[in-house]
Amino acid sequence: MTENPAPTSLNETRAEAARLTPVTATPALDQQVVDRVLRVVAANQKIALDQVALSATFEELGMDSLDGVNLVFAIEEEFDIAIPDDAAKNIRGVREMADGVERLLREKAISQK
Amino acid sequence: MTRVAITGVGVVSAIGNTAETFWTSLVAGASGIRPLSAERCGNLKFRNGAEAQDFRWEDHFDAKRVDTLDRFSQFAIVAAREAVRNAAIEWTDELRESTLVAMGTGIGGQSSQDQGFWDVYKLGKSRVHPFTIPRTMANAGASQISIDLGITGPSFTLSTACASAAHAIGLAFQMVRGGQVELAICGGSEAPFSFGILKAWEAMRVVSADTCRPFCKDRSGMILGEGAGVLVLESMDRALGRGANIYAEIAGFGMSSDASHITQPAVDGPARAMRLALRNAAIDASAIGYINAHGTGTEVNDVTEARAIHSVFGGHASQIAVSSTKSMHGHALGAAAALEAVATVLALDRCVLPPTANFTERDPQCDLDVIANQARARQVEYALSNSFAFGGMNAVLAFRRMR
Repeated sequence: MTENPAPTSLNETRAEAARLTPVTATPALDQQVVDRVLRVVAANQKIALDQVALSATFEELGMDSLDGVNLVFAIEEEFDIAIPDDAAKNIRGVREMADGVERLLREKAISQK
Repeated sequence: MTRVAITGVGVVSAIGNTAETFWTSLVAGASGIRPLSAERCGNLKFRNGAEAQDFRWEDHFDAKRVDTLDRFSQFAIVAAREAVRNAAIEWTDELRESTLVAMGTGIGGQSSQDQGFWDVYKLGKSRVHPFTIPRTMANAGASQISIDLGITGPSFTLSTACASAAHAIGLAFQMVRGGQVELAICGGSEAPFSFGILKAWEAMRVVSADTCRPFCKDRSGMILGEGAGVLVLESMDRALGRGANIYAEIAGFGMSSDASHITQPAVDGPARAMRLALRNAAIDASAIGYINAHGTGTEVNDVTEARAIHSVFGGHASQIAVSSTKSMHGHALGAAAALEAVATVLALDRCVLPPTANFTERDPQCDLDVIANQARARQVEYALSNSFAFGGMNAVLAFRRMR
């Protein structure tokens, strides 16, 4: 059974997101991957695509922990990747998801060489 | 002792997705047994079932909500909403805390599990949908009703195969009668039309290749059904006090076990359950005017049930009108007893006894006054609804006419 994470206030989440955002710019995300992630989030969570911002946290999108598990499944299906449990637990927003997907796609590409 | 009133009924079935349309079909003798529409039924030996083909989840749920709902939970919620609506309950926080949700199901959300098995075994996928567990778990139906209606009192699911809903209604009746809860939302739901489950039934060799003809000489087995039935129960005083529409009274409940065979029915166990229901209702056998039979249409059930009825009622057996409405709504397994309870309650309320559809020629071994094909106008004071499950678990409900 999935446990709900302890509720965090929106402000806390934002503060945490700010802490997690490195000062040095992250490598630019592949726009194609981002678009696919946004589409999966919208379809999986039944949200209009234009309501899903790359900067949105899952909490801002009204998602609970079970929704998060559902989204991880849909992302795995879309990209044919396996997201480890630990990583899945720590993804709190769309940008982190896109970032993680890119990393896993890179690892997959390397392992397939 | 507190008397228990039925003040709401709700139905999803092959012959109607409201209690009123269900009743209209029953009175017309209109069977919902049709060719199966379920996917992946290619090499099944039987072709027919009683599916709720007109049920559209879009009419009841948004796309996100339905993701977490197996079809059996969708049925449970829709029937519960109807039952509560026509009971005209005025909810308060106190009432929600003192309301029971008790549902029966034979297999819960196994159709969702079957889909997951298909994905990993057949399609070779490495993962199943993460909602497989919350959709499959047998208590999902009762849980989703409590969530949907905000019921914070006790809730549970009972699983006794084909008697599940009768046990759930019976225990709900006892809890209302005993004063443990003020209100009960009870019944059963089932949605067994997925390939793996159908193959398992095929292997039992009890499903008819044709249709369900209970108590007929040429009967050839059962026909699977699906749906949900839900009843709202409350004390008679409470129901009368608030001027509620009372469909009927639940007067008694009897249970027994055959303790003999995992699938083969016995005469003694069902007979004892009927006697106990009569005793629990404090009525004489001669008070019963109608029996909604378990009547699956299998070779063994119908003859055994007829013997059990004779052993309980003796000479009065010939005075009792009997029908099996499974000939119309199919054998909805864990929901069967709830659909049949609604049929019995409405029969008492409307003074019309529903028939056994598809009836051909009487089996002399089933020597009962079977209502064949045509509904019978008759005012009856007391009726029984029989449920005799695989596993030898028997449950019988006794109902009394109110109007």
